[in-house]
Amino acid sequence: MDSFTINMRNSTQAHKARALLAKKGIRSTVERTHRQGAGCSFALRVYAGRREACLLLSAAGIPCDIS
Amino acid sequence: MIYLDNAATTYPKPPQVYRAWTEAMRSFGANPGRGGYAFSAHTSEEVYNSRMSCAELFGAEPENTVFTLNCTQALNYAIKGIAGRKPHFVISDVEHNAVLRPVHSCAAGSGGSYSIFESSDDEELTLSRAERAIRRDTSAVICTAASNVTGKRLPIYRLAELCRSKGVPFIVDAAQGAGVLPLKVGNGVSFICAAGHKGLYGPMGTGLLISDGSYTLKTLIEGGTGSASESPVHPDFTPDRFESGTINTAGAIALGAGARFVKERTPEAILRHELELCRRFCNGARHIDGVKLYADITVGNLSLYAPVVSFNVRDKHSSEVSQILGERGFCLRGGLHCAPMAHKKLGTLESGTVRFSPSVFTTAAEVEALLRELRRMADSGTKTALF
Repeated sequence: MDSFTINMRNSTQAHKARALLAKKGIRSTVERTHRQGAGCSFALRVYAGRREACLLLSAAGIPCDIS
Repeated sequence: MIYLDNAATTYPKPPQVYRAWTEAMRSFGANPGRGGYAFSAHTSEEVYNSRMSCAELFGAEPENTVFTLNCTQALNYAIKGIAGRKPHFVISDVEHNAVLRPVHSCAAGSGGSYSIFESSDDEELTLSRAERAIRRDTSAVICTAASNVTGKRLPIYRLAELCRSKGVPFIVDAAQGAGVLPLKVGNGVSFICAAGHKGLYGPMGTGLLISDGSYTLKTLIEGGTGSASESPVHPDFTPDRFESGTINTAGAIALGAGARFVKERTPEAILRHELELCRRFCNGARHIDGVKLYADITVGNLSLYAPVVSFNVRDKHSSEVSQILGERGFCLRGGLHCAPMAHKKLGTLESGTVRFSPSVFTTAAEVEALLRELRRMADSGTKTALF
């Protein structure tokens, strides 16, 4: 299934975003990543359309920083 | 053994807390938020679930809910983190050393100061005294939700509103209130500091620092957080900012189970049960010649109290009374309870007090057993008689 990745600033934000999307039936997984210039980081791989997922996250104050 | 020292730590814990802790040690043993493999991710998720359970109890967001080692650590983070250059603090006259000592240390070390306002049974008087103590340069007001000696509740929400009107952060010491009193961040309550191991029925070695997100605290400890790791600058976002290094993972997961237990039972029902036991104790103790009560909880004044009752026995030192009760199978703490100001207010700085503090698991039969023991001691003519 197609997916896209959203950068998350920490584990808590990533899990919060995952839980939020799961309530709306959108599957996602938390991944450990490395960001250039920032070092160790987290990302959320989302298995859904970008628009729908980003709208939900933005409404909860979570930026949709797509990597 | 009859355990009645739940204000120190609750015992026993609910079965689901023991199970959660054991399962955490066995099945969630990777370092959360560090590795990229499934084992670490699952542990992270379980920690998040606990964080969320704790956050919900206090009306907070999970990112503003920090796991600490205990309430004292949470208070130190909040008090020292919010302090200005020459801080001024305002505290009540019944604060625990977990508030008094960091306030004193912080003020003394930086040319600051603190004001202590006198709390009263008259709520309006308490508020006006608190208001008079607040200055333009006040860094924060810190108050306990309820005294761990007298059990008396402070008017937290009215104090919060007062602080909000003056633009001053308000820190609540919820050591005795979490899990029984309705405590939420927001509406002037800037920070709630809670013990995980008392009214939240988590293990010792856990606590919470919860905020409404309005203020950024300075840090006391910096280190690895598993985030933004290339930078030597410590993260400015929570909870990472206050969770440097590896957290007490099993403790945090078990604390989540405790928080869910409290949510299921509801703080209101737990409080009702515990206050009824306090009322029963007061009702019996009041008629035992030689027992002096420092709180007289009755049906008419339940809303003024958290479930804590201090008492003494004639002219005996409280530590002697608690020692003897301990030998007879009753676990109650005697002494100053790390709250000398409260004892100064009560007039018990020399003797301390013996403290009765039930939990959700305490039964009426256990209270009656304690009363029978106190009566037996009163009636006994032996050398070991207290009276």
